[in-house]
Formats: sequence, C-alpha cells, structure tokens
Amino acid sequence: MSPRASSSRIRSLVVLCGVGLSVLTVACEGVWGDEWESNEGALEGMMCTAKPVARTYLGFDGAKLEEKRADENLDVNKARFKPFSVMADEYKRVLGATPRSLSGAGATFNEPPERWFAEADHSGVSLTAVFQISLDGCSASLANDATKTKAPTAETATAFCKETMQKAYSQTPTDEQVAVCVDLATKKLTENDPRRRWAHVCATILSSSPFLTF
Amino acid sequence: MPKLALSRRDLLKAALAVGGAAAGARLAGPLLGSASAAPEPAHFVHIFFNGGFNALFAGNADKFVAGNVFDVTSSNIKEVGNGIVTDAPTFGAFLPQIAFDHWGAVGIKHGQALHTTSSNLNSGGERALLRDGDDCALNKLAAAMGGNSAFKSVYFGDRLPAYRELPAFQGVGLQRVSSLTDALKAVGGDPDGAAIVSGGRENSALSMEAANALSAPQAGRNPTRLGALNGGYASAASAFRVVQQTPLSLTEIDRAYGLGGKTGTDTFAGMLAGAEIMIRGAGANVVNVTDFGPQLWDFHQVSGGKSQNGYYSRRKFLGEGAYKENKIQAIGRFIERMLNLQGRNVVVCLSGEMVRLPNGDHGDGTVAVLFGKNVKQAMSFGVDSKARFAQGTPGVKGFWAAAAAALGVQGQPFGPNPHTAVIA
Repeated sequence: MSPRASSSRIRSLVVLCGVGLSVLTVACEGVWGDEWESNEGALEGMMCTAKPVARTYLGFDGAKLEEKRADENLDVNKARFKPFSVMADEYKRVLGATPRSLSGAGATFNEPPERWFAEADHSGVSLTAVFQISLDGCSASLANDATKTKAPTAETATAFCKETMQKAYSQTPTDEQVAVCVDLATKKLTENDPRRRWAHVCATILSSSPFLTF
Repeated sequence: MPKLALSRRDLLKAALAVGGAAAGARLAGPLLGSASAAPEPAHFVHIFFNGGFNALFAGNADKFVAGNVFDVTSSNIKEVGNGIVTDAPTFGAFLPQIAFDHWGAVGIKHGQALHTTSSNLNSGGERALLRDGDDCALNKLAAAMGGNSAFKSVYFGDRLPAYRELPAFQGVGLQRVSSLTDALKAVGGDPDGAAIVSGGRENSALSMEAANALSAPQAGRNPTRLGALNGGYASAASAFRVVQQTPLSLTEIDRAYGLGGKTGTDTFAGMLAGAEIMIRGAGANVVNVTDFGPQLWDFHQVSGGKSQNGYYSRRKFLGEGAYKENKIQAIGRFIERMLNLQGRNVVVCLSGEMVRLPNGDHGDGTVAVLFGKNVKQAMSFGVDSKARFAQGTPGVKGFWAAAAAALGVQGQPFGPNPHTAVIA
C-alpha cells in the first residue's frame, strides 16, 4: 500500500501493555506525504517529527526501555510474513489450486509446533524453497491455459503481470513493479518453453514479499 | 511513491535495526585491514548451550573432584591429556578420538552473569559472546574467511541468536535454515536421491532477482521486519547459479545422523545434519547452532547445598529421563565427520552462556572448546575449583581471535590470539 496521503495524520497515542514487564510502544506525530518520492524522503517519512509523551520503564539491566526504541513513524515496519496455516488458501486464491509441494513444507514457512507460536520468517534458504513451491503451483495452474502456448510479448506480459499481481498482492501494482515483471518475461528469462517461461513469471510474483506478507 | 529500485545502501540506511544481509557481490577476500582468506575452505560451527555450559564438560572436571562438586569423582572423569579432564559418561564416552587429540579449551571472561533473553536483549552471556563491539562476531568471522558461498553465515535453532536480528558485516548476515529438504535444494542437491542438479537454474536466479526488485518498495517501508529479504533474495539467486560438484543426498545424511526419515531441524541431530549440508553443499563459513528453548541448560537445582547442575546436564546430554535425544552422541558423530572431511578445515566449537558455580548459580564467563585440525590438545585459562576465572583471563575478543587462528584466517581480524597454547 502506498503510504501517500495528502494531509497530515492527527496525533495518536497507542499504549501496548505486555504481560509481566510492560513494553510501551508509543506512536508519534508524523507527517505522511510526498516525502516518499525520494529515498531520502522515505527515510525522513519513517521517522517521528515530535517526541511522544510517555512513561518510562527500567529493564533488568538498568537501562530505560524506551532509550533504544526505534524512532518510527506510523505505518512503518508493520509487514508480517503470512503463517504456513494460511498459505494453502492463499495459493488457491491466486492460482485456483494449492501446489502439491506445499504439503509438508511447514518448515519452509517456520511453522511452529502445536500449541506454540512463532513468527514466520524467511531467509535465502527458505526463499529458494518458496520459489520452487510457487513454480510447481504456477506450472500446474498454467498447464491447460491455451493462451500460454506462445512466448510473452510486451502486451501479453503486461496484462498477465498486472492481473496476477493484483490478485496476489490484493492491491494495484505500481508501474515500476509491472515494468520489472514485463522485463523479466520478455527480456531476461531464457526459457524456451513458453509455458515454463510464463510459470517463472508467475512464480516470481508469488515469491515476492507483497504476496508473502500481510 | 517510493522509487522501486532502492539501492542496497538505502535499504541499509533505512534499517533502523541493522539486521539483514545485503549480500550481492561475494567478496573474494575480506576488507578487514590486511585480513585475507584461509588457504583451504574453512568452516566454523558454533554449538551453543543456552544457559550453560558447565566447565566440567569443557575440560576442567579435575578441578571439581576434591569437593565432589557437580557429583564429580575420580571414577567418573576421563583424562583426555595435557590438563584436559572431562566427564566420562558423556563427553568421554561419545566423542571420537580425533576430538580428544584436537581439544582446545579456552576460557572466556565476558563479565556477564545474567542470561540474554527476549526481556534482556542488551546484556547477558549470549549477547556478550556473539558481539565484537557493535559487530556480530559470527558475521565478522564469516566475512573474514572469504570465499563465495551463497550462504556464508547461517543459523539453526528456534530463535535468532541472542534473540534479535544481529548486524550484517560487510554484506554478510545470518540466515536461518529450518528444513533439511530446503537446505539440500538450496545447495543444488536432490532430496530424493544423489543426483546433482547441475543446470537450468539460471532462470530461477533471474526470478529471485526480479522478486527482490518487486519486494523493494515494501522492504523499504519495513526495514526492520523485511530488511533481511534483500540479502535473502541475493543468496537465493547465488545459490541457483552454483553447480553442485559433490553429490549430497538426504539418504546419506539421514543414515549418518540416524534421522529416521525426518527432515526437520528441531532436533540436535537434525540441526547438525543441516550444518553438514550447508558446509559441504553451500560452503557456509559460519554455522551457529542453538539448542531449543530458553535457558535449557540453566540447571539451578541444589540439594544439600550442592549444585545438581552436573546431574541434570549429564541426563540432558545423554537423553535420559524426560530428555529424549542423546545430544552428545550426535555431537560426537558430527565432530568425527567434520574433522575427517578432506580438503576442508572445519572447526567445531562447543560453548555456552556461563560456567556453573558450585552453589548452583552461574559465573561471569565460559570455558569453550575448539575442535579442529589446527587445534592442539591444551587448556588455556580454565577455571579453578570454585569455577572462577584467573586474573588476566581473556575476554570475548580473545576467543574469536583463537577461533580465527584455528581456522587459518590471516590478518587477525579480532586482534592477536591470546590462546596460542591451543593452536598448532
């Protein structure tokens, strides 16, 4: 979601209390606007513009809990990886069917033991597995698609990329994202089999963070 | 609207918590002063016992005989040699002779007598051990070791080392491995056989790079949560481009570690099997293995004024009672395979947060053990009968300097090695 907004956000104070030691998270006053146009603006947009008013707590080591808290604006660092428990439905939502190789792939998505919680996370090793699962699903999904017997062109790739990303990301892709996708489909990939090439494009989208997170 | 192609530098700048590997170009050699790569591929495996590790296992068991501390007697110890004395039923029984021959025990006075936990992130033994100033020592060592592995620094366990994202060093960051099947596929192996996947992966590599570009805007807005993705995609792309030279099959690994067909990394044997895959298959330079659960070796039990830490630690190592896995057997098997690996210099290290005191509490340092072909059988700055460190015992930097020396890393990236006694 693009964080562009045309007006400043109203100051809000959010206090989250954990069990045992209280962990105080305080949102701050920030301005959300055209600063996202540039990378430098993005950095500024992520930081608070006014110090929040909050209580202070001491940790076991005597340090104030808030001292090393990140100076973060609203809507920053909110992304979370989807847990394994939803991935079957997620793939089905986009592809119409769940990849066979997703079965038993809980470890790839950091599935926790029963009656336990662990935040999902990804590294280079798991991303290779995610890509292969996605490729498996995309290959099956496109196997009987008569429109995928020809190699992608700029026109067909644009349409495919927009539609697939819209579905996968649940939001309209940016022009830059579409351009990356089309470039991959029409210029970068060397796969001669058209269906395999289309499947690689599809799997790329399903291996990117906008699909893997919520 | 944020620019799509955020550069690596911008992502790093935006990372409010400096986690994540912004890997891309694999450095042929490190940029640490005059440090340069070791002459043969080198690998460091750090096996960490959370809440432990009692010095009686590390080589100071003889110090505890007189007072029957930790239930140590003259009949349940093994004299390894050159001042190294360990617990007979565990390390003495299950470690191979090559481990005894190359056993270098090094004292580390890190000054922390608390645990590092999710509620105590800024101090504690684990944090002290894994940091070199503001740097992550694991990543710094991996960078110094050079090479072009797609996965230079990896970890196993149920949580991040020291409970938080550790800073990347010169583009080298820690990456988690949670599945043997995934690990094998990532290094180009075939989990269903001994076949080598040797071609057709360039398109997959290109796809990973495109996925990285598609993810960049979101990663830029979520530098703490997603900052590591940039390095993850880069590693994945590199991995897809590597042609696996050595057959590596799940069958061989399964048989070697007695996995019984399981492919998870939620057991000690599973994690060590994964470590072998990453070393042989990906050439991973640094592997960190953390036992599961919080402070699982933190046995404070006392009976009649005497610490029961030895009793419970032995049972846990042997998988007795409520403990289901013989961990020391898996460790012995791993050390034997790694130290006998041809053409590679693998150093296996056993360490923990803190030594245990006779009264049941924990001390402010650790006695770690290095096993490696360049490691001599020797004790360097062990503890006394009260599990205390002598004046002048080196700190954490000295430990990492010793590890670097054992690995043959040139240039002293952690400074001079104060533990020369353990290096051949």
